Amino acid sequence: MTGQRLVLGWAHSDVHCLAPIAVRKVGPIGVLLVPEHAAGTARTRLQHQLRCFETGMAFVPTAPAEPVPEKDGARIAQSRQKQLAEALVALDGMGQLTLSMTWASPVQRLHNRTCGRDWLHHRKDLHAEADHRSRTALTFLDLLENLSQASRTRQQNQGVERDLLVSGARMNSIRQRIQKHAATFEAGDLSLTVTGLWPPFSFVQSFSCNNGVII
Amino acid sequence: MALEMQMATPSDALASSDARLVDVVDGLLRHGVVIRGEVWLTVADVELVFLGLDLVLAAPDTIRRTGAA
Repeated sequence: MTGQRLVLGWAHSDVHCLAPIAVRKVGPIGVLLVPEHAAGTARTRLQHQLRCFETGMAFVPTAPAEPVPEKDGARIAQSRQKQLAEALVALDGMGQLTLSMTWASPVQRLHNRTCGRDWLHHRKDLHAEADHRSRTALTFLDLLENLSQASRTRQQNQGVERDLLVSGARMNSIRQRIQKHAATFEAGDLSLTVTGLWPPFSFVQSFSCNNGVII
Repeated sequence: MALEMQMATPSDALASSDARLVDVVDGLLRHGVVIRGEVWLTVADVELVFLGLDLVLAAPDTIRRTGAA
């Protein structure tokens, strides 16, 4: 145990947090801190960030996997004060809704192929299938694009993920809109997982300790 | 067939062992510190070889201290 504190993010300096989270004031910015022994892993830092976020505070989070020491967090609060203040205004009341569309892996079906030519043909068909599924997933996600102020999309091997920056106050109507579209969308074997609201990780730039922040 | 859908709060996702929710949480935990690269070697539109690379970005001190980023 080193006694060092790690940065969870930045907020307005007048916010109040429950222990073990503390706020170090640097001008108008508050650096949200947690003792290293209470947040030694990315997962525990994410849990603490979630607790801060769920109080409703405007909050610029760090990447959970990147432990930022207190002195670096305070230096960023000092040197990037204007950008942080602007981001806190932009993110006030906003959160990240993550939509993940996935499909089943075709690997098992390939294992049954014994002839090489047959295997290659089948591989080609699977590639076309994956392309089709990816396009279908994006078509569905595009239907939801107008629910958000901004979005980020990640293509993966067996799926597509899109993060939407949405207003927390509109969450009920947004959920209803997603359910309505899902109920009428012809999707084959695609499935949709909706999680949130998360702190807006995808809408603040990840940073190293030497540069900064934001949207 | 309509789209199969699952909704979860962040707390549910963090506590769950469901593979899809675990993947979502993993994605958040990787955010900003992992650069993912994929290379497919393809002949006549058939993918033959896949090379995947996850590049973890962290200061040397961090890696030494935690054993991982």
